[in-house]
Amino acid sequence: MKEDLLVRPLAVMALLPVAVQLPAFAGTDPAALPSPHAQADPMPITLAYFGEVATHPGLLLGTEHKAWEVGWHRAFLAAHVGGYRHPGNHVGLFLEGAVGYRLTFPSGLSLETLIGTGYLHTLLDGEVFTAGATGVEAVRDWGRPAWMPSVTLGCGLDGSGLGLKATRLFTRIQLFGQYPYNGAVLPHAAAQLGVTWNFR
Amino acid sequence: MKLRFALTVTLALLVGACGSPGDMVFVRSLNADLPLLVQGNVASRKMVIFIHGGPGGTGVTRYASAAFQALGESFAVASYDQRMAGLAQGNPASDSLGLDQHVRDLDLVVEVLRQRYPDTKFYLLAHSWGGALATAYLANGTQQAKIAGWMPTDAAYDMVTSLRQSREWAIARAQDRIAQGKDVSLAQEALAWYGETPTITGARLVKHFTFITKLGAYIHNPATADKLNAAQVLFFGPYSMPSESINLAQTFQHFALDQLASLDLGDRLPAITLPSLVMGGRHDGSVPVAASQAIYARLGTAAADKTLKIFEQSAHRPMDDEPQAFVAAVKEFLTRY
Repeated sequence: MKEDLLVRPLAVMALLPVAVQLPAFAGTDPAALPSPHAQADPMPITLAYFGEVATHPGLLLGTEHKAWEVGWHRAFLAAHVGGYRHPGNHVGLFLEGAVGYRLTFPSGLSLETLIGTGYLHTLLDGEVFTAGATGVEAVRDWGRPAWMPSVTLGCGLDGSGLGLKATRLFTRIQLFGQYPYNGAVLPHAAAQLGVTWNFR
Repeated sequence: MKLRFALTVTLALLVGACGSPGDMVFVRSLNADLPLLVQGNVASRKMVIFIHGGPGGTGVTRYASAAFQALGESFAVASYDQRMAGLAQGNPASDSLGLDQHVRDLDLVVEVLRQRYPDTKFYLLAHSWGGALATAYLANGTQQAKIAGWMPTDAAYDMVTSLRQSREWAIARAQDRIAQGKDVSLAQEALAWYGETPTITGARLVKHFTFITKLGAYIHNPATADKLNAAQVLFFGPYSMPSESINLAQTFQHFALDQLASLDLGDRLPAITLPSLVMGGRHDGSVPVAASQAIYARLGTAAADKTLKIFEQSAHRPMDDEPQAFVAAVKEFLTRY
């Protein structure tokens, strides 16, 4: 009985990587329009400086998955987790997913755009005081949740020309929203400077 | 090697980046989180509490102004942003915007400061709409007892009268501009609009404030007035321009347009008996100088303990038009009381 319970999920886990790759072999002739900089996708990792208004520092960690690629054009899905600190104002922690499009030229230069949605949690960057039963008391701030829509524009460069194999350097400008903020959508701007590694 | 360098730079940015320009805490009051910044000489045991105008403006950002930095050399300065103003956060209900709640918020700010800075004397420096807020606050005897003195500056305690006087100022200024051949089309547009608008109320407030701003109601001499270091404020401090813009719009929509124009607290002035330094700019077109003169006359403060200071080279913001003279007047008052 116990062996039966184990075998089935193990079988699914073993077959899943094969199942995911089937469509890639089923539909398209990969030789027809080869991408000039076809990237190996098994596990790209993105790490970037994330600066809200450029100078409020933070970090972004992410990955992406190629959804479609023809010639110089690629559509992809991306997921990011990160945070930043606006000193004296707030700390922002976020988790977002995005759909992106990248145009890569033979030179290795690329242009991209992403549209995303995610979750932003903001915490006050300072001690918090309120009126308690016996007077003023310090309270812990658990932060506030917000919806985080975003749009990003960026450009990048294939790192192989700089001796950095299987990497892509990039810079991005992101506009993201924070809702609700005092009943409205608060716009933010962020600059990203980072690298994507394509692990084989 | 390259990776180690990148990580070092990243960590340095994270750890060593700009900090807050003073001691920043937050005061949580009815779902609003009000930033409260204390800077300057706290060892003096005398602290100015700045109550900003607008409504919907910002006080916290004043830390970067020449006047506040000079004042901080001798005394402590506390600035806070009111609910749905400046850098305030928290998602409070829009119907919480009202004079009574602003007074309760201010009292909590005062209590936080009294706890954090014991054995300190507190003085209210109340500018423009902040003057109305301070008037309402001090009219309560229990609250007034917590304060050692106050400095209403271009303070709007009676918006009905001030708006009428501001309209008259705008018409006179527009006529002057036409006579001088300066900003003629703006001046003509203003005169036409004021001709069709005998009373400034409700939604007309926005247009009125736009006209008087362009006609120079706030700063008398833009060439010499103190200006904040924009790069320092925008990129290296707690300020957020989108926050201030959103909050200003929300405050106007949910408070100013409904309640501001009918505000008249003149009957509360006689209840205020604190040492008072009443200040105003001669060329103020937003709250004309007659308001400061009326406050001085109607206060309950003994004649020996109240002073009227008119800044002859200033409009609505003497702390920016004449920062040295402004600071000197404030320092003299704080030293005396």
